[in-house]
Order: sequence, then C-alpha cells, then structure tokens
Amino acid sequence: MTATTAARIGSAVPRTSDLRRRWERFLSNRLSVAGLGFLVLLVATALVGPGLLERAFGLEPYGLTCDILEPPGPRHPLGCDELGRDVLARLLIGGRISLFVGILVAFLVTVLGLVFGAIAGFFGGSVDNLLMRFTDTMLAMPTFFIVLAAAALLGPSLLNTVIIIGATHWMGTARLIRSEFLSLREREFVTAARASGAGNLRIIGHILRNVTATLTVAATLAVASGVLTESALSFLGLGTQPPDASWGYMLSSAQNYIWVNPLLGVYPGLLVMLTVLAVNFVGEGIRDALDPRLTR
Amino acid sequence: MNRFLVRRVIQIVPQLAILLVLSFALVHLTPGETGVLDLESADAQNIAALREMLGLDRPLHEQFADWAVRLVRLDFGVSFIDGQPVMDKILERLPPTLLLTGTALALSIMLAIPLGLISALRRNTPIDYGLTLFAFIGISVPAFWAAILAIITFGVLIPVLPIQGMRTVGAPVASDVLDVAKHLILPAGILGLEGTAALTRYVRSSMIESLVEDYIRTARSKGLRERVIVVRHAMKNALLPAVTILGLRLPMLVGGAVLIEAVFAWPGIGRLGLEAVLRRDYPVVMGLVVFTGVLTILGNLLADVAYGFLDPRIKQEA
Repeated sequence: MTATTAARIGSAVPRTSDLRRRWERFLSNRLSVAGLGFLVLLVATALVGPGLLERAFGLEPYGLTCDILEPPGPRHPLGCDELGRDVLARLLIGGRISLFVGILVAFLVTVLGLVFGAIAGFFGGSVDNLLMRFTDTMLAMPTFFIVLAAAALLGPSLLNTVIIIGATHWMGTARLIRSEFLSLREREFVTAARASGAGNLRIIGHILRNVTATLTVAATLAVASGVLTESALSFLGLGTQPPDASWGYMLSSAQNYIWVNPLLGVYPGLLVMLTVLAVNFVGEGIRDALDPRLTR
Repeated sequence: MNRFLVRRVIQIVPQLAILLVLSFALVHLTPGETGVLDLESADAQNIAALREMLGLDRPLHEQFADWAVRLVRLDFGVSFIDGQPVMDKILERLPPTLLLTGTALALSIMLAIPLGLISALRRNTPIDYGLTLFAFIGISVPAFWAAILAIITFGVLIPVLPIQGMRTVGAPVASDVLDVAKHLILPAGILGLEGTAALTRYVRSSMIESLVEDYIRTARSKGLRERVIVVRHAMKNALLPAVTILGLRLPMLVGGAVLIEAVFAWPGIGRLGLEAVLRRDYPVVMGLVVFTGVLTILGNLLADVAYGFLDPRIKQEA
C-alpha cells in the first residue's frame, strides 16, 4: 500500500504544480509584481515604442525635428534636447540600449561566476585557494576606475562596454556559487551519485540543479549592476557613443542645460532608478519564491 | 593568534603579485597601447625615438620587472602629460578625497547603525517597510543622478549651497574651514546616503540573526532589561560582520568617488583618475590602480585582524 501511495503522490505532484506554487509565492510579493510589471512595460516600449512613436506622431530619436531646447508642448510631450531632438523618443531608444547591456552583462557575469565558483567549490583544496585568492584580489581592485581605464584603452563601444562590465563584476557571484558548492558536495545525493559511478562532470551537473535559485537571483541582480554601470560609463562619455541615445549619455549632456530646462536632467535618471529598482524587487521576489530559506 | 596573523599576512603576497600583473596587463596588453604615439605629425623616426625614451621598445617582461622594481622604491614614474612624478600627483589629491569619503563614511555609519537597529527591532512594521524601501531606493539611484538632482535643487531652484569645487575662488583664507565645509555638504551628503542604504540592510540582517541566538534567550530568562539585552548583548555581536563590510567600502575610501568628484568638480583622486584615463596618461592610470589596490589589500588585512581580535572563534579556526 505504501509503495503505491508513494507512487501516486509522486505522480500527483508534477513539476507544473511546483512551478505554480512558486509563481503564487512570487505574486504574493506586491513590490516584486510591480517591478515585474514595470519591466514588462519597459521591454515592450523599448521594442515597439520607438517605431510606434515615429509612425504615429513623427517623433524620431535621431532626427532634428524641433527647436533647440524646445519646452514641452503638444507636439513634443517632454520637449527637446540641446540639438533639437525629441526627448521622449530618445528616452525609449535609450531604454533599448540600457536593457540590452544589462541583460548581456548578467549573462557574462553568470557564466564567469559559475565557472570560477563551481570549479573552486567542487575541487576545493589548492584549486580553490588559487581561484579565491584571484577573486579576492579582483575584489580589492578599484573596480569602477578599472572599468573606466579599460573603456578608454579598448575604445568605447557597446560590445566593449558589456565585456568590461562583465569582466569586473563576476566576483560576488563566484563566491556565492563557491560556498553553495562547498556545502552541497558534502550532501548525501553527491555520495549516492558517486557510489553509483557518476563522474565529476555528472556530479557537478547534479549540484548545479541545486544552485539554480542562487544563480537566478544573482543573475537578476547582475542586470541591475549592468544597467547602473552602463549609465555611469556613458555619463562620463566612455560608454554608449553618440548619436546612439543612452540614459547616461543623455544625463551628461543635460547637465549643461539644467539652467534652461532642469527636467532634462530628471527623466533619464528617473528611468535608470526605476529600472534598477524594478530589477532589484524582482530579484527579491524570485529569491523568496525559489528558496524561502534564503529570506531574511 | 600569532599563527592566524602570520597566515593572513602571508596571504597578501600573492594578492599583491596578482595586483601588479593585472594593472600592468591592463595597460600593456590592450590594443590601444600605442594610442599615445599615433600623432599624425610624428614620422617613423620620431616615434621610434619616443618609444625608446619611454622604454616601450623593450620586451614586456623586462618592462614589467623594471616597473615592479621601481614601484618597490615608491617610484611610480612621471606623468606623460606634464612630467610631474605620479606619486606627487596622487599625494596632492589624496587629502580632498579622504575628506570627502571619510565624511561620507562617518555619516553612513552614524545613520546606518541606528536605522538598521530600528528596522530589526520593529521588524515587519511600517517603520521597517519604510526603511527597507529607502534602502532599496538608495542602492538603485545612480549616485551621479542624485548629484545632478541636488545641483538642480540647491544650486538652481533654491541656490543656497555651492555646487562646484572645494573652495570659493578668491575667498579670504580666514573663512577657509567654513567655506570647505559648505562645499562638502552636497557631495559628502550624497555619497554618505548612498553608503547608508547598503549598510542599513547589513546591520538589520545581522541584528535579526543575533536576536534569535541562545545567549539572547538566556539574557531574557535572566530578566535583563530589554535595553541591556539589545545594546550590550545583541548589538555587540551584530556589529561584528559590519566590520567586514567596512573593509569592503575601503576601495571607495581611497579610490575616491569618480562620479561624485566629476559632477561636483571635487579635486580628488577620482577626478585625477578620470582625467588621466581620458588623456591616456598611462603612468598615472597604472599608479592609481596600484596605489588604491595596495591600500585596499592592506585595509582588508587590517579589517580581518581587527575581526580576529574581536571574535575569538576566528583564531581557533586558523
């Protein structure tokens, strides 16, 4: 009887209901839901917004469609910048670049963090020691300054921006993954796998499945630091290059015209803040949903 | 204790070595390295002469060894731009940076400890939620945007505070301290608030952890007053991890806050670095990376040793 009950229970609890439970737990966190809503809206407007604005209202991000520093009006809801380009259209295009960079950075950070963390944590001993000394040293470096130097040396471009930010922000993820691996490799399922003849690669795969919660949260938070760092880099003129619009770059040019139109210095920063805030809220929600134990 | 100390001190040797290799590689292995020489007016002969003068014609490992040996003698080379020794340039910019970041750090410690404490003690109440929201906003706001907002507010809309530099040009020396203090308010305030946001969360979570420990229950069952329990027993242990966090904030303390210094035209290390990067002044760039990196490694060492003194359990592990 017990065996059949167990089998029935086992089959009655398919993965989908597990997913649904997690999803419901995520939905119970209002701030995370708000953050997710904002991000969905942002992605949608970044994808179709610029085209729509151009077709429907003739607002284009690169064309000089209005007077220099024209104040907001019916034709240009948020006014125009110092060259006579529509601010609203540029904000939407800027969102595209910010999100793109943020997501690619998160990908790179996750891959690097996973490789370093998994190898160090799984093998331990001198391998661990070597990799962690390297990680600690990277943590001790003046990160933002190195990002600047590398951007100037390699030449500013979208790809370089992603590579540089990714290469200087993986250490936190690596340490997280390492500590997870260190504790997980002592667990019974690893011993069981080893006893049944599994090789290192297969065991690493098993452990990996148990760090997805940590990894997802770390990846989400990496999007936030990617967006923030890209905006800072572009603000200093070493990230996204004109004529491409990016929020950071828009802020740096607005800085010279805050006496004429202070709001020009408000919109792009507000969007950066809301995006990062939304990503952080979503990250928090995912953490709670995937692994309630991690909640503090 | 001594064994822990010796082990920890030995650890900084490979760290320093990696730091040197990384900062050398940063400048010498990137394709833009010859950028300094691609002046259109220079002919091949001049370029060769210049390369020889700067030592760029020699093999990389020789250049590295030479550079490292000179570093040990605290010789960071001279700036490509104005020929001044890099060390002098750094030391000249260090006091303004320490003033700015030190004030900011003091501000964030003074705010974060009480705020984190309140948050932990009033867990899941409106106060806690409010402080949590503040912390989230604090870590999500780009510091340079907060700086621009501050300039718009206090420089354009209600012009009450200076928004550029560290001193009023041509102001009498007698009022210097007050003048610098006024210039310090906005940059240090913003930097301090930014730090407060992150630190508050750390204090909150380590306080919450410490409040459920056995010794707190013991203290309660002894009938100690709540104030004594919180301050003498819980807080003392909760602030230990915060020491490590302070260690992590050290790169900022010495590296300066590039963005804040840029927006407020603060004459510190961060702006020196930004200027050097934009003008491709490699000796200054490398000097700054090594200088701030070494100070940070030493700072972390200090934090760990302090931790070892404060928490006896650490010694036994080592």
